[in-house]
Amino acid sequence: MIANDAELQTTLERIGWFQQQLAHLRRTEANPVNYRAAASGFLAEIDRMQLEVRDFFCFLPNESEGAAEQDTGADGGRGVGVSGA
Amino acid sequence: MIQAHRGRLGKMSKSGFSHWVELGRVIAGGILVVQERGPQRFVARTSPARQPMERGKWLRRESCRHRRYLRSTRTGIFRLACIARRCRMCWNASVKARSQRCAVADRLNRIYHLAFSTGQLARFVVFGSFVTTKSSPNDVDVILLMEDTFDLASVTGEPALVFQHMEADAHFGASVFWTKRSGALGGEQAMIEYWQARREGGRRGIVEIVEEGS
Repeated sequence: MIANDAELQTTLERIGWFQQQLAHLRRTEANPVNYRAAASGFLAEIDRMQLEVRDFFCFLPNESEGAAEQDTGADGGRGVGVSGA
Repeated sequence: MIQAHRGRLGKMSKSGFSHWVELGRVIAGGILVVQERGPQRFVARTSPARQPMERGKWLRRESCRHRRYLRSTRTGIFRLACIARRCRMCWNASVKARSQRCAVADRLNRIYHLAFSTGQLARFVVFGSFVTTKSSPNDVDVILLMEDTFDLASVTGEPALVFQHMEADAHFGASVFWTKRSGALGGEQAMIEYWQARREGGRRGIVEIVEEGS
């Protein structure tokens, strides 16, 4: 869960990096089977991070803090990408 | 090499794997490269005078020296391997947490076997909660870099599942990201290093498994 503007910025940069990675893959990978399989992981990660960004934008900062307190312990994620491991 | 025989990595979870965790925490921003040399000994490659150490001795004698070295270096690739008969972290963990870590280690072992069986595996990197101090990690996070000659269409059966993100998640409980060497943005090293970035800022340690003699 994105907690503040700094983490939001990092997440957005991370999404950009994944998109660049996919663009690079499109240029270098001629095999469609390889491309689809390799891209699936990066696409899933982009989706996950974009959902986090969306959740972050759903609330005002003071609301987010309250939601975070209620949601304590719910974020047992794996920390892939930019999440803390 | 880790693919020596099935089950080895599971055993290592009580020793080597968890010790990576401790070192991973210490090195913070570095990439920890683990090399397995045989059933009972490992070699520490960052050491200036690197000598294979017998089981058990390494932890007492080498780890302190390496921790000092790693603490001072902070970033870079560490070709490091280690073994401890009993990992402090696992030893202190609950039975449930220990078995969870072992189960996840088994998954990692399986994935490594399957990826290696293609004959095209170039680099195998582990990151995420498994290589942190978390006592009971949920899953395995893996980055695979394959040789440029790799063709997924020629891979059949269970190994093919490793390369399908969703299937790998469902089948192995692992998040697998992969590309061919040429498909790595900024080069393979830059790509791997990018996975060290943390949302909170700074970098985290990740672990690369290398083959014997590499």
